[in-house]
Amino acid sequence: MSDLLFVLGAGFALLILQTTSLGFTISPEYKPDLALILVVWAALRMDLLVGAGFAFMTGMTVDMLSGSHLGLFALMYCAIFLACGRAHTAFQVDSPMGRAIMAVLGCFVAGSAVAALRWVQGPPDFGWNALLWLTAKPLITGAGALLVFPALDRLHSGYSRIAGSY
Amino acid sequence: MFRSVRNISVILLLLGAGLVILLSSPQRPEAGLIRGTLYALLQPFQEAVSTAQSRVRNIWSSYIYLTEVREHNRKLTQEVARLLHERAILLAKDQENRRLRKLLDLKRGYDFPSVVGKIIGEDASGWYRTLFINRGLDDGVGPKMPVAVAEGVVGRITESSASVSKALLITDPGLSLDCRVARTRDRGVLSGTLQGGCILRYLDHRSGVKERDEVVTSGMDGVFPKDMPVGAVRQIRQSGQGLFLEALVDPAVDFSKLEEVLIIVAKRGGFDVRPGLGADR
Repeated sequence: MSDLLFVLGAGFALLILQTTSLGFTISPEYKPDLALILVVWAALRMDLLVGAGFAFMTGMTVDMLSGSHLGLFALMYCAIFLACGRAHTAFQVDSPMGRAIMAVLGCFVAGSAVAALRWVQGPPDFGWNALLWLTAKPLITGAGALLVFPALDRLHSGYSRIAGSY
Repeated sequence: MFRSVRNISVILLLLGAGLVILLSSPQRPEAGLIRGTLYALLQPFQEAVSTAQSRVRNIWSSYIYLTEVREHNRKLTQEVARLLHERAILLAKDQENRRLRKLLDLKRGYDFPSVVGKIIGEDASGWYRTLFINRGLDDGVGPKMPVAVAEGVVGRITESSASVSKALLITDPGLSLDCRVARTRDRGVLSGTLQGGCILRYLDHRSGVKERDEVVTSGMDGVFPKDMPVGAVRQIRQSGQGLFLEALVDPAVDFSKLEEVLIIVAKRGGFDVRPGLGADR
């Protein structure tokens, strides 16, 4: 329960950052997906059911705070959470680089889903920029994950001491 | 007895010698040999001491002066910082004033109510082109209402809560807009591309559209008023099937610099000019 409160607080803060000041520092289309990074982090730290619920809720919030169809990111984040949790169980992926690669892949999958949905709605003008977008944004998200994961670990450690979950 | 006489004699001799010298020495302007020698001997020492004294005095006064200067400098630095801060605020207010004035001019230019809103956020995912505006249903703002600035069309409201609305930008492929090329009056459907601009599709292949032609709203979609600037043609190409022309369009609005927008809250006076619905404004 205390972990859920932590990720809810962190998610709230990251979403505020993501919808406001992050766009001033980096072009909006290439800004890292901080909510996805949090979902990947939660996949390695949280219980399956609570974490999956959190991932779904975060995705729904992103859906509401973006131009996507309601449910798209909820579905994607939930799937990414489960996939990352499974990968963590199977391969013990807990190194910074391993977690960053998960974030890169997760972001690529989410972006591909968005592009696929756009394609279904009506062929958009795919060009080199779209390809760049689909590759650069996940890589930037991965780089962001390298910074955000240690910060989340430290914050969570401090929070756990205060909340007494250890 | 002998000693006291000797002492008195010496004293008297000295006094007498002094008197003799005093009374007998000529008052000449130029120094004599002895005096000149004395002066010459003393001069370097006097000069050295005097110079040192002067330097010490200078150093001291400089120190005092520097202390004052330092304090003065500190005050001036603070003052400069304060003035720069005030200047930045005034410049920001000036720019805001100019932007609002432009919006006001735009508002006066159209015969329907509108509301000025402030951009408070952007798309959370980054995969879409949306903005959040601090106006909602309480302000009369609702879905499908056009959003614009003085430079041109920004987008359309897609969702509204009581106090916040979400607008889809014209650079998003999900938004389509009925437009015309201002010079040739050719109609087409404009939508966003994933290449960072817009594309005007379904232009007649006989159209004389050229690069840098201005694209404006047609007013035929019942959403946007007629002849609002949208952008300028960057490139023209054949469509995939070759039946139509397509024009890549650079938006007139710099979306990265948007801070305030105008939301047109009602369609009064008829910018809806679909056939049979009456003339436009």
